[in-house]
Amino acid sequence: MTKWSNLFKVVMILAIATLLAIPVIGQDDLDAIGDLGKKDSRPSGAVKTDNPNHKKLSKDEALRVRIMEIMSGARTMDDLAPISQQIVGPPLDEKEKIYQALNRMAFGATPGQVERMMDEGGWESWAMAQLDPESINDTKLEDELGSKYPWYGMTITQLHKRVADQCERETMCDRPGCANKRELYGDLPAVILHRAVKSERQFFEVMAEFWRNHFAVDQRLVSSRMVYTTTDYEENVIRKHAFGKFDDLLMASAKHPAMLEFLDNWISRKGAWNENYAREIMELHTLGADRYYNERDVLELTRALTGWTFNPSNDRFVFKPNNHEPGMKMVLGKRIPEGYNGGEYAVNMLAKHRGTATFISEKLCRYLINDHPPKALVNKIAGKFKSSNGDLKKVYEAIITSPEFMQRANYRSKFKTPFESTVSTLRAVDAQISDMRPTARLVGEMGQAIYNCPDPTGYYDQAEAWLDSGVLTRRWDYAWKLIRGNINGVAPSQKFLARVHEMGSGEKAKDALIAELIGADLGTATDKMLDDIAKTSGGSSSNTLLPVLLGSPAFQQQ
Amino acid sequence: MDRRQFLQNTSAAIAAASATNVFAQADGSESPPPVNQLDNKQKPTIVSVYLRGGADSLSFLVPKGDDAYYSYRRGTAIPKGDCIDFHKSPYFGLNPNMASLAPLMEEGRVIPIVNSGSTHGTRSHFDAQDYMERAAPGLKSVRQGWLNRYLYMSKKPYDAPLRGIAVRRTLPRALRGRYPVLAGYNSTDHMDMFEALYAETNMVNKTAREGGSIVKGASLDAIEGQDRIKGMERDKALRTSDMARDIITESGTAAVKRLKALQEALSGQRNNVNYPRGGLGGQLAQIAKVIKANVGLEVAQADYGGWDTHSGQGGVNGRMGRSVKHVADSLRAFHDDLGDRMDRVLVLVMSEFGRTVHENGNNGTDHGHGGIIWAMGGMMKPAPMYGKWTGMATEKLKYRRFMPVHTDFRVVFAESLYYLMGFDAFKVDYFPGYRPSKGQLLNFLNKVET
Repeated sequence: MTKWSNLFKVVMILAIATLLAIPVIGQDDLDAIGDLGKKDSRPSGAVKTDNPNHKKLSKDEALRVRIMEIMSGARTMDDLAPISQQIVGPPLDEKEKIYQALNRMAFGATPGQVERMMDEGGWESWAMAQLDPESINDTKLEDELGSKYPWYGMTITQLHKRVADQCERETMCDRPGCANKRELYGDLPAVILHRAVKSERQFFEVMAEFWRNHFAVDQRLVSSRMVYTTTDYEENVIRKHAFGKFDDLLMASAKHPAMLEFLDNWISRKGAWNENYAREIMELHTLGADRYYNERDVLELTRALTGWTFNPSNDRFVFKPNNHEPGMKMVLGKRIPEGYNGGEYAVNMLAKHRGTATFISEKLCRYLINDHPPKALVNKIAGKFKSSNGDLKKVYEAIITSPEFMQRANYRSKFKTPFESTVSTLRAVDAQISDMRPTARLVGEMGQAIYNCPDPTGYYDQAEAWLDSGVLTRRWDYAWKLIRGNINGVAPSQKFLARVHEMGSGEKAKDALIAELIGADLGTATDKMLDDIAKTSGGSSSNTLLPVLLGSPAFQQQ
Repeated sequence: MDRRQFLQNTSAAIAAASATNVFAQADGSESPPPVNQLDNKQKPTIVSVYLRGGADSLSFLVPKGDDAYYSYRRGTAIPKGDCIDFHKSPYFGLNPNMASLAPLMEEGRVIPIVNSGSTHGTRSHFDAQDYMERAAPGLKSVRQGWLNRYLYMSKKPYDAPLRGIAVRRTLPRALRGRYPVLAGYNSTDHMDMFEALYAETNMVNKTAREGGSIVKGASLDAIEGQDRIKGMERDKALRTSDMARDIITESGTAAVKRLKALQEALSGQRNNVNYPRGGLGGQLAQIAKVIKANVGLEVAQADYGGWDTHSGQGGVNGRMGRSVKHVADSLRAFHDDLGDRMDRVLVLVMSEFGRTVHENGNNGTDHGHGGIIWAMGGMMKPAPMYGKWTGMATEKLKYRRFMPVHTDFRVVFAESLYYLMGFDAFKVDYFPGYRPSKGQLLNFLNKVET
C-alpha cells in the first residue's frame, strides 16, 4: 500500500506541475470563439495581463487562486481537464469493473444488477452479449410499447396518413391530424426515454443515443412535417444502422426526408444552391470542422448534391435530374461525375475517408471512455474503423476491450448529461412507467430536449456544457420529487421499495443503499447528510436517504 | 532585403497593426479599462430584449408619409391619422400603441436604429436567431452566445456571481456558453438540502488543503484517521472519480452561490412602478431589481415571443397592436423604475428579422430581412434615429420584397460593449472574421465610466 501511495504522490506532483503550467487562455478558448485561423486573438482583458502578481504567486497561492476561480465560476472544467489523465491507481477490482460497464455500456445499474453480474461471472460475459443486441430478448418491452403507443411500428407512409389532415394551427385544434401530430411530437421523446430506461439491450440504447446526437435532426414545431419524419428517422436511420456499417448509416441519413429538410438539401437545386447540408456532412458527420476540406469543397459538394430531394406526397427520396447542377465537380481532389451517381460516390468517399475514421473514433472514445481520450487510443480505434470498413460493432468492441476502458483514470470520470442522469435515476429505482411525457419535458427543461436540438451540431458531448448553474438543482429536484411521488407518470416500483424496506433502517439501510446505487466514495458532505438522516429519522429514513443519494454529486458521475 | 527596405516593410506592418483598433481610431482612446472589480457601485448593464418570431418593424415606426407603404399594406397598415408624432416628422409616425414611449423618443432616450439586422440572408427563425444571438452570421461553428462570450473573455479571478442573468428557466442562446450564467427560475423547494449536499466539504482537495497540503491527491495523511471511506482502501479513494466529483460539487456550489445572490438581490429591492403583467413586463421587473441591488450585473436578456404574424396581424388593433403596446409599456415602466440608473443601463430591443413589406393574403406578413433595433438608455447621443433609411420604393427593397439591412447588428453590439463596458470587441477578435470599416460605425453612444 505504501508503494502505491508513494507512486501516487509522485504522479500527483507531476499533475500539479502540469496544472500550473496551463496557459491562462488556451487554444480551447480560441476554438470556443470560432477562431478563423487568426494567429493572435488573445483577449486583452484576460487574467494574465490584468494580474501583475500572477508570476509572483507561490504554487500554493496559485492553486488557491485557481480553486477560487472555479468556485466563482470564472473557470470551467476544461481548465482542469489535463490533470485527470495523469492520475493512476490500482487496477479496478471486479465489482468496480461491473460498475464501469454499467455506467458506460448501460444507463446505470438497476436494483440488484451488480450482485447478479458478480454471480454470473463478472462484466465480460454481460458485455459480450450486449455487443450482440439481437441475442438479447426484449419482447416484453416491445409489446408494452406497441400497446401503449398507437403509432408504434408504423411505416412513414402510415405515419404521414395519420397526421394528414393537420392544419397550420399548432395547438388547440381537434382535427384528428392535428391531435395525432401533437401526440407524436410528445410521444417520440417519451418512447426514446422509455426504451433507454427499460430495454435489456442497454448498449444498443446507449449507442442509439450517440448516433441520434451525432446525426441530430430537430422535430421543430408541432405543425412541422419533421414531427413524423423524425419518428421514422429514429427507426430507419438511427436504430437500423447503429450496429451496422457507418457508410450505410451515413447514406441512410443523407437520403432521409428528415435530414434533407432539416439541413435544406431538399430545396438545393441548380442555380439556387443551398450549401447547408454539404457543409454539415463534412463538418459534423464525417471529417470534423475544417479538417481536410475547404470552402471550395463545400461548394463543389453542394453542386454534386443538387437534385437530392424527396417527394412530399410519399416522403420517398428522389433524385431530380432537372434540379441537378450539370458538369463534373471536384471534391477533396477527386473528380465527381455528373448525376445521381456522382453524389452517391461523394457521400461514400466521405464515409471511407481516413479523416472520418479519426473523427468518429475520437467522438466514440470521448463518449465511452473519457472527455479527453488519449491520442494513441483514438489512433488505434481509427485503425480498426478503417480496417473493418466502418463496421461499427467491431469498432465498439475494440473500444470496450481496450485496456483504457477499464483503467482507473477513466473510472467514474464522466459527468452525466441530463438524459443520462434522468435515465439512470429511473433505472436505479426500477421505475414504473405509466406516462413518460412529463419526464421527457423535464429533460427538455434541463437543456437536452430529445429530437428538439435546433443545432445540427447536436448537444455537447463534454461535461463543460452541462455544468452551468441550475442544471444540478433541477436534477436534485427531480430525484426529490420522484421519490416523493411527485413526478407525473413515473414512480419507484413496489418491488424496489420492498427491497429498500428489507435493508432495514439507520446505518444499515444507508450502507446498503450506497452499495446499491453508487458503489463508491460519496464525499464528506454527502456522507454527513446521510449520517444525520440515518440517525434522526430512524425507520422512515429511506424517503430522504434516496433522494439525497440520487441527487448527490456522486450520482452525477459515471 | 536592404535596411531601407526592411524599415519600410516594418513600418508598414506597424501601421497595419495600429490600424486594427477601430474604436481607438474612432474616439482616440486606447485599450479598454479593466472591468468588473467588485466595489458595490452600479455596473453598466446591457439588457437585451429579444422579440422572437420576426417582429414587423414597420408596425412600430410607420413610414406614414410614404405612399408605397400604403400600397403594400391594407389591413396591416397603421393609418396615417392614427399615428402619433415622431420628432414632428411628416414622413415617420409612431404606432399609437407606443404612446408611453413617445416622450422618451423626444428626449433622445429611446432611439430606433433603422434598417438593421443580419448580413446573412437566411429567413429561417432558427438560423437567424442563432446567427444573431451568437453574433456570427453564417458561422455555425460559433456556439457561444454574444453576451456569454463577452463575460468569458472579460472574466477575472474573482468575478461577481451575478454578472449575467436570464430570468427565464432556460438560458437564451445569447447567454449560453462556457461562462456560467444563472437562469433565474432554476430553483428548488429544498435549497437548504441541496446546499448541504453540494457543500465544499465534498471535495477531496478541499479537505486536503485544510489538512495543510496543497498537492491534490497526495494528501493521504490529511484524511487518514477520518474514517471517511468505509470499506475502501485509502489509496483507492483518491483518484479520478474524486476529481470528477470535485468539479461537479464546485458547479453545485456555484449554483447555490448564484441563486442565493439572486434571491438576496431580489429580496432587498422593490419596483417603484407597476409593470404590465406577464410576458416582458415580469422579466424586466426582475432585472430592474437586480440592477438596483448593485451586485455587478453586466448583461441580461429578456425574451418575448409571438411575433411570427403570418396571419391575423392586424393594424392598430389586434394581435400586433397588443404586442407592441406590451413592449412599449414594459420598456417605459423599466425606464421609470430605474430613474437615474438608466444613465448606466442600455436596453437593446431586437428581433431576428423584419417582415415582408407586402401584406399576404391572410392579413399577415411573411419572413423578411431588415428590421429595427430599438435602443433605450441615458447615455445615447440624442438623435431622432440612427442607421440609414432608403425608403420603400420597390427598387430599394431587397429582392423587391424586404427592407434592406444597412447596419450590421454586430456594429450595434460592438459599440454597446465598448461604450458601456470598455470591451474592445475588435481587438480581441470577438467577431470571427469580421471588422467594420470606420464609416459603418454608428457612434450612437457616449462613453459610460466603468
